[in-house]
Amino acid sequence: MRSAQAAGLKLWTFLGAVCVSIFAIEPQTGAQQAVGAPFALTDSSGKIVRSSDFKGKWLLVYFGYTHCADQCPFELSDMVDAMRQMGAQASAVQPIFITIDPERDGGQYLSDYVAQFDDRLIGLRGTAEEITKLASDYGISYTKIPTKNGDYSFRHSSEIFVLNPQGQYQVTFSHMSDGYMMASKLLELMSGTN
Amino acid sequence: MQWMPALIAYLGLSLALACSPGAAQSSKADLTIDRPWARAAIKGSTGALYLTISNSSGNDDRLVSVTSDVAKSAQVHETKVNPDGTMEMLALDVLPIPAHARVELKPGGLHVMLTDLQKTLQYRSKFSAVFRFERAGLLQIEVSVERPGAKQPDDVAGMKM
Repeated sequence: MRSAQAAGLKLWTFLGAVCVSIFAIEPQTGAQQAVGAPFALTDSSGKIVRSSDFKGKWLLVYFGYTHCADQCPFELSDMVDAMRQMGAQASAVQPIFITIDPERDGGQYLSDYVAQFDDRLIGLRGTAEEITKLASDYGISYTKIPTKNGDYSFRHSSEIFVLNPQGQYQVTFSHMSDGYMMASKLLELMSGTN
Repeated sequence: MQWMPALIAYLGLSLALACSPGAAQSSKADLTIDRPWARAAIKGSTGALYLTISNSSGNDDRLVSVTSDVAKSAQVHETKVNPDGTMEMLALDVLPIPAHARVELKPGGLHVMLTDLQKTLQYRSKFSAVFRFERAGLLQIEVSVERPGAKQPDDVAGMKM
């Protein structure tokens, strides 16, 4: 009986580990990490924004596009929900939306788009080359898909990257993470007990 | 002054109608559309419309088109997760509504994509849309606009204070 119990416990431990790995992907030790690579992009006013400008803040970085009707608002909403659930500690967090569609997203339009979700969320764009390079650094894949009416959408990774105040990559939240899960992980990372 | 009570009653009734929440359900020929809602979205961007369609008849039906003045075009899409973790939207030409079935359009799955919004969909406003079904014909609905990142209607979590 005891061994059956032990096996049961092992199974639960294993399932627990599987659950954690599904929702939050920890960085692999020893692997080359390009996530968190420095960037220089432009904000809606045309000002250059560098990753180094955010030293001292925890960054939440999401790559998406404003014409993404279903998934991107979902993720951005999760980011904002996480910050609301963190209370006062959210002041140490900077959420960033980087568009993979610089052709259509920029200027006041991009600024109005992000402001719908939260005043703290900033939208950044770059040239097509800059975005391709940065997305590749972060391991984000995106492909333009033409639609029937001559428009296009994207097949894209939908993940949220967490960088610590030193600009080092910490963890990735998959599209299955929700605001509560992200908030608790961020608070854990901030307290240094992870 | 005999008309006064009638006028007061009329005004009262109009006020009551104006203040009551909009019909959350529309139905025709055994097809019912429940709780249609959309996320707030800015002019020129893309919106998403969610609802539940129930078919209480013994006949299969199909949603063949959606139109609304707020968007240049509207089409049923499905968000699909690929094996490599990427996500994409697949356009469906028709959406089957089988006999005795309930088809849910909700975040992360099926939705009506509203392309090139002709006006900003303001939180707490309403707009109308027309659904065309193969059997049931046309069904006009009134859509409630929820907050930009809402995951369900009346999603109050995280509303701006």
